[in-house]
Amino acid sequence: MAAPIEKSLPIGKLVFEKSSFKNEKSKHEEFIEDHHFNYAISCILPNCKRIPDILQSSCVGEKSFLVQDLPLIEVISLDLIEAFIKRGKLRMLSHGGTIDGDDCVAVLPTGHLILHLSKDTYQQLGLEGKPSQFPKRKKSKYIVDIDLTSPSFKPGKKGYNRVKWCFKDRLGLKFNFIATWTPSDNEVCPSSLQKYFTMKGCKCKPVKIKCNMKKYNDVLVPDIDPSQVDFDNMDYSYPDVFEWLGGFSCGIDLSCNPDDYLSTYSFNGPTRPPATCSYVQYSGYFSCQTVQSIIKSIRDSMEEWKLPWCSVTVQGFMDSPLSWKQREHGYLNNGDNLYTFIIFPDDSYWLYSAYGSYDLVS
Amino acid sequence: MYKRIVGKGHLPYAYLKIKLEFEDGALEPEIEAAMFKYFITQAIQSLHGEIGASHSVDVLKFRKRHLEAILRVSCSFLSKLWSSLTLVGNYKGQVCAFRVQQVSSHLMALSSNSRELNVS
Repeated sequence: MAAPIEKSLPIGKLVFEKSSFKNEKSKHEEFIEDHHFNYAISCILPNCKRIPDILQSSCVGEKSFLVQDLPLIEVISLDLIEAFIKRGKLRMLSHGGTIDGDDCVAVLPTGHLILHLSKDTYQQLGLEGKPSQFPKRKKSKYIVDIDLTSPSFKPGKKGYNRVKWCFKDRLGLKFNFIATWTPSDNEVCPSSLQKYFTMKGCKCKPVKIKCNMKKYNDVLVPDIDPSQVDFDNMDYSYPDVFEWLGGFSCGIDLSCNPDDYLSTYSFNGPTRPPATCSYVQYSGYFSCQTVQSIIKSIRDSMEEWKLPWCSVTVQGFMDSPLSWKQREHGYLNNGDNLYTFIIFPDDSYWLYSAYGSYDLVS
Repeated sequence: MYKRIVGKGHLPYAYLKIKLEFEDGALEPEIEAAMFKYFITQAIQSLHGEIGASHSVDVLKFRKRHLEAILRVSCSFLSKLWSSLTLVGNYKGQVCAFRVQQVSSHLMALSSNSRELNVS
């Protein structure tokens, strides 16, 4: 046998949680809200012949858009801070650059502006930051964190003027941003943000939502018993179910024989009788609000649709500088940051959160 | 009621999404799934020998028309498989190369790729 490679970094991490939506301490809402940049939402609906309209309408109606060549100085303008950042949840992410090579920028609903900069840009810009945690030894990327909602961040104050001067006179940084805005006031339309940027002279385009729907007949779906959590005494464990869900999402034929020449994959756990199973994936850019409403509508209609369980997977952007909350995120082999809810009819859930190697797991 | 399990160390498997590419304009040969797997096993054997080739590589999915596949290997074997794929230069005398498009330890992650988002 060849010598093993020592101290190699795991290329991924998996965290499993089991709880109930009814549990008062359940943090599912915060969990969804903390994952800012959602690229794709996919659902697996066993025993279901067509995708319910409610899923379709909430995903396709998403009001996210792309702002082209937005100068960074516009992000710190007082109008934007007062009218949008302080009156709702603004999430913006630079689009088109890769996190391991280019500069990336994110605006969080907490009012923080995060600049994830390459060494060159960082040194030319002249704002104070700290080296990124990834890659560990080589300081090739730097992070600058600016709190836009801080009371001292106002025109006329030293800090504000410095940032403004850096953005305007030192480096005229421009990015393409994808943005969503969820206003705190329900009567305000989320598309006002798009109007605002258009008024400022920027070109805006809606992010097209792509939809991929599939229906498979005679699928042997795992029979999951949510009350069982003692995986030591069972034929299957939680990663096996996650692997099955992943395989189904990739369109893999999962009924193969373990003695097959091509693949030795098999699912060891119990399965339900063969039935039709639907799969849908929407990709684009989604606000956390949309994810919340999808989960809520599935929970409400679970019994009506007669689903034994249902899975909802949300995938984040690989090149986002943060995964959850303000936890740093990078790219090595992959930039995974995704989570899957398996929802059961009794309102309990299983939650998988999957990370790549460059991610701070809490 | 509430339970949280944090996986420690390496996850058991690594998954790769790969594509076999031929030169522009070249007539692509028809490759069956079994032949594709044999080709990969040959590649491993030529770099890592018999023992390397005895390691199991699962072809979970193979799209014949696009010559794209999803492979599964144990995590410790990933770099050996990857290096073997990199050094492949021809298929039955025709110049070709493997492109590794996505690598992850979660099969779920291969179902989408956010770098493909094209707004303009």
